[in-house]
Amino acid sequence: MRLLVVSYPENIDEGVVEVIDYHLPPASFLTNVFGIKHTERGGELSYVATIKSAYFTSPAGIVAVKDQPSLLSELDTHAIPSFYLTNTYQGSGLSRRIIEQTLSVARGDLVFYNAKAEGALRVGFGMDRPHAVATDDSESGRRVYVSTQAGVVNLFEQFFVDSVTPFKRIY
Amino acid sequence: MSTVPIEDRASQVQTMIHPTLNEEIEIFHPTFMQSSHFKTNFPVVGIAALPPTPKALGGDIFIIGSPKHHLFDAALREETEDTVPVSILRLRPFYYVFNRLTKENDKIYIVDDPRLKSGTRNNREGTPERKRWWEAMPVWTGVDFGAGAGGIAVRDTGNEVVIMGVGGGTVSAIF
Repeated sequence: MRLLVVSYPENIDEGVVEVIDYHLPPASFLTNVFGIKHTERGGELSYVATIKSAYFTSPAGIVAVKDQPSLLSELDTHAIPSFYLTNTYQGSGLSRRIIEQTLSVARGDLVFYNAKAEGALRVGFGMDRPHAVATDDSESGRRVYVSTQAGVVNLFEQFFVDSVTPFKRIY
Repeated sequence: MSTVPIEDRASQVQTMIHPTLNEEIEIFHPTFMQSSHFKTNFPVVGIAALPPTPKALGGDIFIIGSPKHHLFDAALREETEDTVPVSILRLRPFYYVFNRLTKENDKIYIVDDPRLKSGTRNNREGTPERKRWWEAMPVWTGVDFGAGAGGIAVRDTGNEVVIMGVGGGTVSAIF
């Protein structure tokens, strides 16, 4: 069993992410008459959840990772995966039309949705109409590749830097 | 600011109260930097990546797009099924290292190659920061995708790499 995630623009100003459960066909087995028997839930898709966020401005590409899935509860029995999502445009309405489409200011971004925390954050920005996204590390997404409609492929890498500036006393 | 990277995810973990379950949880918000990029002469509409081999600089990536993207765009707008050429490229990361013996640049594909330790300012055995390059290899070019390129998927089965591209209602598998 595995979960698929799909993103699409719901309307011109915002988008949604659908989480769909894909039941892999259980192992078929030979019956005593040498036929192949399938169970009822073999290969079916079923709806799990819809995720909305102010960060999903115009979703185009999505890739899910195993890291930090949502917590299970009595009501939620499916762990929703965390995922990375690209937004073709960041603004909406007039700002999108003037700033991003007419003036061609690159403001597309890459968003990480942390399913465990049920929150999103922008992890990459300033791209010209980003589209498809992929990772070569499906566990935690250490390297994320984002392609754009301008023909550029960007590589984003996770890094761990001590961001605290050491305090230096000057006498 | 400290420039010593902390290669330890545990130090970046934060605690918070879960918004709906009302319990304390540990979360990790990854921080990213854009480490490299490359440009093609056509819009890339699909991308897929293979997991890297243990010593590789990164996984091979596969991109799909149409060098005649205007035909693809026109076919989408007019909902026609014009034939649109499609290209799939395989890209492999490497470093250029100057070879003092041959006076030429060598391509390095693995992280522990001793030629990468060409020395830094205070360390003769140091490994300097290098720009990452991408070796592009056309995997497939043709017009079998109907009205143009769509998504791409790739999977290494152990014996071979299977690439699947979709577009214009056609799925092509390349081995």
